[in-house]
Amino acid sequence: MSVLTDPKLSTELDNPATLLPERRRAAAGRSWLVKAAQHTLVVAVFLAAWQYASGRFVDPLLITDPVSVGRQLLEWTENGLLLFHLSFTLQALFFGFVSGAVAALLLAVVFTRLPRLGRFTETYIIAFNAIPNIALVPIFIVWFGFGIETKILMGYLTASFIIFIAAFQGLRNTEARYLELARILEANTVQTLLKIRIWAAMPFLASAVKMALPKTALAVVIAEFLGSNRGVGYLVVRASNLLDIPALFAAVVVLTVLVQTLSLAAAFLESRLLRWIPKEKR
Amino acid sequence: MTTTEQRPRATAETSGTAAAGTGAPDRATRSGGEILIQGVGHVFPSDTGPVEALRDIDLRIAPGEFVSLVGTSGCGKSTLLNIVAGLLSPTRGTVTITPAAQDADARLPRRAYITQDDRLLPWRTAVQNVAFPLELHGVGKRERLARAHELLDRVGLADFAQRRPSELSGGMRQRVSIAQALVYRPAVLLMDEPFGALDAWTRESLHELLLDVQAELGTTTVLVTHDVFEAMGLSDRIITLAPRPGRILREYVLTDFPRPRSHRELQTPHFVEIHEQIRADLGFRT
Repeated sequence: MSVLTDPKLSTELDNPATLLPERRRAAAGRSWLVKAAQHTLVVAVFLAAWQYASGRFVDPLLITDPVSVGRQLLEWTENGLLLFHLSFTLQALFFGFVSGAVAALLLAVVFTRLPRLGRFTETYIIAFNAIPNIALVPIFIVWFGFGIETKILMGYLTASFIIFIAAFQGLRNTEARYLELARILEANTVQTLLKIRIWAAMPFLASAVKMALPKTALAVVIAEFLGSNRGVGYLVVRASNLLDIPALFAAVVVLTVLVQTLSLAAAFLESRLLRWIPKEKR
Repeated sequence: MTTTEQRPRATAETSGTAAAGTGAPDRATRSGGEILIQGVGHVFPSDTGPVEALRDIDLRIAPGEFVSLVGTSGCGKSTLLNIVAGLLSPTRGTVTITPAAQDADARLPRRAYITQDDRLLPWRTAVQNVAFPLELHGVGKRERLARAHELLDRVGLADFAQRRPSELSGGMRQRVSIAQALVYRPAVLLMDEPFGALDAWTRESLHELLLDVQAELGTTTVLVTHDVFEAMGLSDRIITLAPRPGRILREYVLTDFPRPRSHRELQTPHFVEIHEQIRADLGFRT
């Protein structure tokens, strides 16, 4: 084989992704360490400034201070309240998100098979979503009470809408050439769905999951705000009712960490699912 | 649905049909099937009224034969190939593909189709793409991977089995496409400008590869191209098509010239004459 057509040579020249993976990985590791150090520094400076300002420039009743917040968090951890409330929220989130995602995916699959019905119904689904779902919580409370059902339902509605829109769009926009391949290779409907359409829709699905997971968590917490005796949302409301400012800040910290963790987890999941797309195209 | 297919059995020779090219010899083949195109016409609806893309196409392509369809753009050559591929039902007429009698695995598809823009699935590695047709039709994992690796080796990409299409060059992607098309030993291999987007060197190396595997497997091959040299270098027979509506103009039988045909050979008077005639068919000044 001539040098010009040697495939090995030509990719290595064409494609920077094939160049020395060890070296790239080492560079990525270093930059990760640098970034972590930078963020730690920023947070540390912020906390120190907050601690210093509290009681000197600003009334501690208004902004409390990091040490009190930390003490509150420690107390909740020790007496099990944190786990008690967090587990409630996570349960509602889990059931709401999973049921919403499954229902959305099934509906999108059905509508992909019946595109006219799909486009017709989609109008109503989008109209329904225009209702701010916070306004529905009181209705759900009347229907289902103050228990976990209302929170699951809120999570379900939030997750299913976001995932349905993305899944429907992704599944019906499979590139024609892949569908032609399926026809040439005589793939059946189920194989075309599972081995081609779902994968082709994966960028849509992954970004929908990334968006939906933190939003679903917030929807659950909002349902807890409006009527509950458990959950991270309840922690916030109770602290606010008692004017317990350190507890209020601590509850907000728990909420922030929860949502941030979910966002990171979803972003990680997305990058795993889309590993086959070159980074610069993602 | 007017496109019909027959399960493997001895081909009933349809002698005396109006089909062109009955002069082409049937070769002893292992996997080549016969393509019989009878009275095919196709009309596309459009905003400005129906457009007749093909009219009265009659063509018999013998098992193991390599036929090129040459024509200017708009002559319906891709439409014809899509009809043979089963992607399009013709408005009139029938296409019959009869697989070779000894074609063993009746589970597998009978047609393969390679186009200029490859149809490799970007989420699959090269070897997974090549094994894909076998996976769809119940060939066990070990066997299909073994066969896919064998074919990748055959097209010179053994070291690239685990790469995804985005990590391969255009020429390498077409090699993978060829491997994927041949892994299930189709009765017919259809190609629509498969090398159009490639540089001259890559194209030539793929021509060699194609001739090798085609001779080895005896796959009946139909190539749509606008490159007359490409057609002359590879084919047993060249069919020229006239545009609007697409119809068969003439055919050139090249079975007397052994392949591979060198670049120099294609400059000999005989080929120059064929080239000039084809150009004249297509309405170019010679």
